[in-house]
Amino acid sequence: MPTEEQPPASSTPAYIIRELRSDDDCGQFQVEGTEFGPLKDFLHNHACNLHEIDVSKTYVAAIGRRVIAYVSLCCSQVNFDSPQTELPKIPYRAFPAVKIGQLAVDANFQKQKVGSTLISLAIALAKEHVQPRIGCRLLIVDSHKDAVPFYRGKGFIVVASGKEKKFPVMFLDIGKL
Amino acid sequence: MAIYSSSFGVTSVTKEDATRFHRQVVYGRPSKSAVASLKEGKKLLQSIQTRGFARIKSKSSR
Repeated sequence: MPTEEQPPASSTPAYIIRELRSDDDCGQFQVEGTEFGPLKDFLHNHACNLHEIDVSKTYVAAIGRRVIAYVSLCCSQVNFDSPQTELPKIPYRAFPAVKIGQLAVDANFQKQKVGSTLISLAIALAKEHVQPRIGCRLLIVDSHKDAVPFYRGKGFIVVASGKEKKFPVMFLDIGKL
Repeated sequence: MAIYSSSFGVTSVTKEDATRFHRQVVYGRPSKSAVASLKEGKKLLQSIQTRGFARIKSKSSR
């Protein structure tokens, strides 16, 4: 059986999906543009610590020890105060959720569907591991507005109204998946 | 604006956004893309649980 560090000799360039490790090389991770600097800073300075103290869990795409993409997940909640409507009443005003806190792909590894793969993992984690054992209805994300089509392509729906928002809130109802 | 959210905290939805959210929760159906994503994710999870990692061949979206 091939090990993580020894890919099959005949393989095309491949990467590994797994949990973040304390000895991972996050230092080479680069983003395009200062706007995404916080995503680089999170990986460089916070992800490992938050992973270890169980505040958020980070899953990475890596080549060897080099992290080329990551997604960080934590518990969250959606409160909603729906005005009186003709809709059937829901006897709760809050839904438990898993939140995609951060998702980023190294500037040198864009357009290879690495981010899409990590979101698929996040959906499966929420659906297969969290929901049956803990109770969780939604997977949510504060999407960058430019990433809305990407998340739509993974089945997420925008909650925000039509007003221009930099980080529209999007959700996926995993209770119905 | 009728949405408030923070990194680790609660997302609060009010007014017309809350109505939209309410409608989705009651009547929404999963899209084919969501189902396909879950299917892909399950395979990854299974591999991670078995071997500690999942190996992905690099692929281009173009």
